[in-house]
Amino acid sequence: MDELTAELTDLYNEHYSQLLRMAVLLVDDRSAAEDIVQDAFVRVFDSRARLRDRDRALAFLRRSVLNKSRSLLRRRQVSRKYQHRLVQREPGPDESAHGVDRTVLAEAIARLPPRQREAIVLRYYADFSEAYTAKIMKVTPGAVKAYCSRGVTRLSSLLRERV
Amino acid sequence: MTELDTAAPRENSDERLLREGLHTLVRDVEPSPTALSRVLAKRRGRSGSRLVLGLTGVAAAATAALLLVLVLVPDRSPRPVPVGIAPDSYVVRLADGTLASAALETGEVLREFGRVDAEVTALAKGDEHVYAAVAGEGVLRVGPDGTTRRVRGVGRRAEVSAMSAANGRLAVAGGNRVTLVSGNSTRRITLDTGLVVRDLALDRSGRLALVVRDRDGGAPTLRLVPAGRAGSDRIRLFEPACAPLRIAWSSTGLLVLRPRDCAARDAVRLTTIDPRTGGRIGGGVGIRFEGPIGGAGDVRVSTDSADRVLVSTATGKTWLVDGGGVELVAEHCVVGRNCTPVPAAM
Repeated sequence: MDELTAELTDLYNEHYSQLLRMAVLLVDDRSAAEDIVQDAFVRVFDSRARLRDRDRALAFLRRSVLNKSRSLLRRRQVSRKYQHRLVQREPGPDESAHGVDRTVLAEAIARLPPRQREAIVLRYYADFSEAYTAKIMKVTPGAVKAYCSRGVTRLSSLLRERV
Repeated sequence: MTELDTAAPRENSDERLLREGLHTLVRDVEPSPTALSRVLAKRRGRSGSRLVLGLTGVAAAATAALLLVLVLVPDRSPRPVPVGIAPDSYVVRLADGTLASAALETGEVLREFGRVDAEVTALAKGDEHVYAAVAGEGVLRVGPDGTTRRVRGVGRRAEVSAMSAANGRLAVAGGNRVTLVSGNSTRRITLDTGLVVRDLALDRSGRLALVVRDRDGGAPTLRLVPAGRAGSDRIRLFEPACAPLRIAWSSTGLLVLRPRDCAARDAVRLTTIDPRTGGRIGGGVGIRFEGPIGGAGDVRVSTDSADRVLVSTATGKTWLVDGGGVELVAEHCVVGRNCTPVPAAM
């Protein structure tokens, strides 16, 4: 195994699952999410310097997943085939997450404006700081704060409507 | 900058529930067993094709470099300093005449570019400059460093009703004429003398959409000017709707702002149409003003590359439309300052 392949395998082992889950939350579609993350991992090889710098590689992967998720949602909107896949999933026996029904939460997240959804996923799922979330989203930290605040308020009201 | 949020948790119960809910939602999501092998296989395939492309590229670049050295006289002038208007911002003219950019999310002034004392009738935001239509001056191009130049190709006495900038090009409407400026070249599109261009939108490919009205009255209509063409085609809408007020391009089609009720102008609706067929792509969102707006010039719609839409009025109220959500960005154009009655542009 050459050095770069070993580097990529390490990246995969450490971050693939989290990126995949992040993509699922962003696009509601497991197989599309897998394609997005696969593509990001393949493209990270386009620059050897990037792959040798772990922080750059990670930032690239996260931004790539975010950008491709945006493109996918936009294409869906164009073709008017937007469907909330997580919502359509049959509820399993343990769908309760500390009082919030998973299906209801998935539906509420899917109804958020795209930027609020991204900020919520990066801040509250990936646990990124405001500054790092801003870097990945290419917006200001103030904007992230505003997106999160509005997103949480909106989610709370959507969940109260349903619960 | 820390990647992870290491600050002491100050979350409220909603945030805690959300965090737990998100993790629970995807706890069953695991990579497919073949994910790593597929990544490595794709990577090997890509490396091969990249090698061939790389070698071809190197040969082409060497030839091009040789030709450039032979043909061009070396330019020893100082390299231009890269400038750009901040992303996630919109441009306004403050009450003291200063052109400024304001943060899209908070409405706070980010940067002041320079002061224009004469009356400004329209603003447009380009990738690297702000354009201001100034009475008696034509159109001024203002950089983030404050440098101001008059745009050639637009006369000092030109009456400018609307402007739109995209991809280094600027389109200026006045009367029945549209002037397209790109670098040092200027192109003019002239419509029938009985028509007036009320608004226009230029996309990155050079395609132009127009809101056009008869001088003798009659409802405004939409027209499309394909890139590079001088003639315009009328866009015939599928559904009956109120006459368009303002337009802007999005990645999915043409955004059209029109009154919700044709007889009143206190509420508007933003819809997306396919400019080729006139069919509606998106149902859009509605915005209610405090009172009826005056003419089409009192409201403005503009977009950014992320398909966010800014709806602004001459009174200073500014809304951001992001997906299906509408947020009021500023009551009076920007936070803590007053502006002149020129709708902001993104």
